[in-house]
Amino acid sequence: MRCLKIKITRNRRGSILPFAVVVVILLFIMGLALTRLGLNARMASARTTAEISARAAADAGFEQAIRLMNLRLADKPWDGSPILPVTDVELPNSDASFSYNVSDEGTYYQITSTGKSGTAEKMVYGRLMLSSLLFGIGVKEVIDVKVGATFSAPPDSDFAIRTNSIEDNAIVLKSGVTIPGDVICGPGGETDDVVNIKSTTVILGDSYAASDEIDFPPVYLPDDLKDETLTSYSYQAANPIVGSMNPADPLSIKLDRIYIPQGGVQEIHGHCEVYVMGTTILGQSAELIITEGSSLVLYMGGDMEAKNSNGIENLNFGLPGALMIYGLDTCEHIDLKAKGDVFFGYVYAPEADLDIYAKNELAGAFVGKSFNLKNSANFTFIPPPDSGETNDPASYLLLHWWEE
Amino acid sequence: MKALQLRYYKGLSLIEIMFATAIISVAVIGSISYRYYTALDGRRANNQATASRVALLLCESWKGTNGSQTYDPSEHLSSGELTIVDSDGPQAPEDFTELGSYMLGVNSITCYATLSFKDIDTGLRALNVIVAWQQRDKAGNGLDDMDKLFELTTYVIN
Repeated sequence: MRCLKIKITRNRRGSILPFAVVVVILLFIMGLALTRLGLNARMASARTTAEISARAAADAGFEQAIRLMNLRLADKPWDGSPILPVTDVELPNSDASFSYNVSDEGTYYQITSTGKSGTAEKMVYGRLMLSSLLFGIGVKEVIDVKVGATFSAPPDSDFAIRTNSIEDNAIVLKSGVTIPGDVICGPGGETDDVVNIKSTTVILGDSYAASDEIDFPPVYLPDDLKDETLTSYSYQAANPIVGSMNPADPLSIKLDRIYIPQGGVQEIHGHCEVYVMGTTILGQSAELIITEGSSLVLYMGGDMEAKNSNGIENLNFGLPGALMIYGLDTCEHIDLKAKGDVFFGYVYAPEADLDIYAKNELAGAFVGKSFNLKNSANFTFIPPPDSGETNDPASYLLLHWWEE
Repeated sequence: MKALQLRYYKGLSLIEIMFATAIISVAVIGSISYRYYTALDGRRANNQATASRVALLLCESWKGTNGSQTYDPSEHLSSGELTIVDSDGPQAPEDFTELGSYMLGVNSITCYATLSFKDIDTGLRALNVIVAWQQRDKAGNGLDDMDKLFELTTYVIN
């Protein structure tokens, strides 16, 4: 008899379910990672959007701070203090806001502007330095320099010829002209088109387009001059205008006009500040003389007309402040003629076309709507008096800018 | 007597296999939808980032001209990768003056932008850029199909 004996030797359990659980867990982890990836992408884009808004807000605060600083500077007399800080100013049609603070750091002012949008925060910093607008020749439109005119400037000065214009031939430097500094046109201008030079013209500095238009603020008329009693000008031969002996406290005169007749000579003795509401006319061969040791600050409400062979003679060459001519907004044209070998003075008339006639030496600095040097004079740039606390036109120059 | 040894495997029944297969199938299908939604999220994020960068680009470029009223982005920014054409655009803010509206194409994304400005003070101008883009997939690419907006405002000294 055959006997079959069956022996079960192993009793192994199935493993498909644990395997399925492991697979599910792995897929679950993978799903979580993918979800996290998508979420991170969405959050990153939301953060990018908020940071862009915050950055734009910080820029807005920065621009407003510079604008207000320049407005404060124009509001003479200026005491040098910075503007007050602001906090959480909401931008129109935006969910962002800005705050800024301007601190006086001695030689410069530091702006800290903070933009916020949601949880994003961006900061923009900048350093401003006070800079005179009498940097050489500055205009809003056209500069035209005659054949053979020469220019010189102190080696360490920032002499420049600058226009806000980007029109073709806005700066014309004819043959033989040498510029010992930069030639600058308005933002976005092509210097090759804007600056018209001849083969023998030499520019020792750089030619470039400015990043911003230069702001030529209107002239501030001091309150004491504004409130002065109006006097009718009447020329009398050998009758000088006698001012104060103290340059810090000049004599204030408010005139309806100045008319020096043919061959007449009007001398200024002492220190005067004169506001001429109407036109200043120098007749043929007439002269306006600022005598030695004297000074004249002339505020012009009207134009200056100069007939043949007349002119202004300043006998204080090299003394900044001896002759300052300011053109108010209503002054649209100035004919300036040098009487004698040298004309030395500063002209700031941002709304006036300046026609300069100087056969020999011309010194100082000029700002106008346009500048036209009619003769082949030798122009010498002499840096103006310190800016800021005086009436001198100045603006803030952005030295350095950075963000976080 | 002859002994026969049998190996007995317990637990691999048809039901178990089918049950495990069903679980894994559900998990796999689920993970596929995860991938889909992740890709969708990535695409939406990309659209939003692109639209906000387009707004920044327009804003910075316009600011570079000191907020000029004759600014035309197609003159300043059009290139092989960015196309700009005049078009309808999102509504400008009520108190702002509209400069123009444009349709922009970048990285196969279409968006619409409106530029407007307002003089806040003498010499200080607010520039506003609104960009509309499509966040959810729709058949069309017209302005009416755009479902998201990004608004950017900054100031410029002019």
